[in-house]
Amino acid sequence: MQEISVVRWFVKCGFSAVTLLLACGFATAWFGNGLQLPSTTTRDGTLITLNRYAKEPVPDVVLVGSSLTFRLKEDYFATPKLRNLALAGGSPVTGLEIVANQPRLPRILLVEANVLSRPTDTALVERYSRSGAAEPLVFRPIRTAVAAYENWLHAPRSHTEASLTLHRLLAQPPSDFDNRIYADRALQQSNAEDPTVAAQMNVRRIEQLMSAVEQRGARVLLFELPYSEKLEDSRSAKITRELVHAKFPDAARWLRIDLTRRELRWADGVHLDERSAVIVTQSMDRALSSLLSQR
Amino acid sequence: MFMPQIKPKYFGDVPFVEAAKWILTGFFFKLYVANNLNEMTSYMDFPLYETLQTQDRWLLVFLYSYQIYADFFGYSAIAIGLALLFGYRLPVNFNLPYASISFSEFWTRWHISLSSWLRTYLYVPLGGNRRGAFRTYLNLMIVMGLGGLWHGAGLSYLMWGLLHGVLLVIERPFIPRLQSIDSTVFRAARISVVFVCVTMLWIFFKLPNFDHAISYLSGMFTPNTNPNPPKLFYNLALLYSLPVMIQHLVSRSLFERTLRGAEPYLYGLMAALMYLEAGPETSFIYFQF
Repeated sequence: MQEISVVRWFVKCGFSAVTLLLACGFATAWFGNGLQLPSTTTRDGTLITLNRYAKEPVPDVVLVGSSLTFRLKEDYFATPKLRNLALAGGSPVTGLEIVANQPRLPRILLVEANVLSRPTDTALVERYSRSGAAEPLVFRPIRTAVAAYENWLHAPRSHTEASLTLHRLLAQPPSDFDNRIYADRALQQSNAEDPTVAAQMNVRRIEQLMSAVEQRGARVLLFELPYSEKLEDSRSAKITRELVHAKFPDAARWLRIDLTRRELRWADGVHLDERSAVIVTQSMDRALSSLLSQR
Repeated sequence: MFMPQIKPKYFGDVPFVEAAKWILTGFFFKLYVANNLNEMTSYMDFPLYETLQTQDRWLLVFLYSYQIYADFFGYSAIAIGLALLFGYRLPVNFNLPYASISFSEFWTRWHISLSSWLRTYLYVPLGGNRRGAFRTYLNLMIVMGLGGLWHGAGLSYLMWGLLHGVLLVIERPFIPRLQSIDSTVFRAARISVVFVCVTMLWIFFKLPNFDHAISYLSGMFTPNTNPNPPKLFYNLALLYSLPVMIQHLVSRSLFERTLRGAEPYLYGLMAALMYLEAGPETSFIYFQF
């Protein structure tokens, strides 16, 4: 008798577990990319960005980079068909490898040259380099519910929708937030780091990938995002800059970003604040419009 | 308790359902609650906490309180469940500690194996409460200080233990008077005070560097003007903390009266959710001690 009740308990338990798993499995198959709602964590954000890139039509312009480039939101750009594949906490080479491994390439690939001390995320490259690369995210009921709610509250904006907010932001004076503590710490860390070995490897890999991508008809340009004056002169920034410019001395290889530095701010000492990011994207837009009109 | 259990075991004696309930609960608390909350509380680490808004510093301390409980309770529950499968009944290590009405009661409900050991092999041999009030207070401070140092040779762990000792010493003379007040509201207030104090002291656990712990604590009382603070999803924080809250707030008798028939289904849902909604893999917090 007791054995029957034990078996019954496990059957009921297994039934509800399997039912929920099947329901989520069907939801995953049914909704596919529709599940890629706003990310709730950095890791989610990375997977969502890459999944979207693998599934959607190939854009004209793609940015790859680190968290510095991640701050340049797509809706800040006036350039249509632009995707930002920068990975917060990641290396620009990871994004470049993933794009280079896709069957179709964008017209222009912009590669951030600021942070080259990080290794390539080989697991991520492998995951998104197979044919039909996007991996459906398993339907996670709690996160999906929260993401749907967040999506409803803060629906993604197009550049046109965002432009009013951007104009308002640009009309404001630069932030007077005192970031000395963060800037000093960033400088200390940057001075303690010697990126020579990792940066040399990454620069070599960028050169190889550039050559492979350009043989297939895409154009690859490097760009450097501005650091604060103190950080520009830090050990890590200097070494990286020297290495990358020694390898790519031709000015035509670089996207020219003209801007007024005194307008820029770095709230945490390293990353551009929102207003500064908009100023930088506007400068990039100007450079990109002449490049895109060339063909 | 354990030694008499060392004897031949029979398959028919294994309480499979009870073992499954412990194991499922343990994994659910670890994978769904602790690992997901860990993703948020990683902002408490140095130097990330300096970019947090003041209210988020407060929120994260409470989330860490839920996380450390879920992590350690989950770890203990899995051990109890596995032991049952082998025919051994291990003592319960957590008994709803955040529902304690006093600090002394908290230490009879939290990490019971360690607190029992400290009482038996340290507090009692030191004289316990048999040598007058002053010596009792001194013994409490010694035991709690050493209990803190047991977790690691750092100033933060020592402070954590000593501050718990201070709370025990402060409340001790008032316990008879407090216990004489029979009021639900007063009881709820006492539970809240104990929970808030215990939670605040977890800062010293999360940040073993004493300077960082003090810096975090002071930032909880000063506004942060960082224009780009990290965004925390409060709704997600609530949903991941909910199992700990429900476990502490819903009485067991009420649960057994109303949901007994649904129990296996609920455990099944927990099993599915701990797979679907598992947070990024992290070691058990207590592996570092």
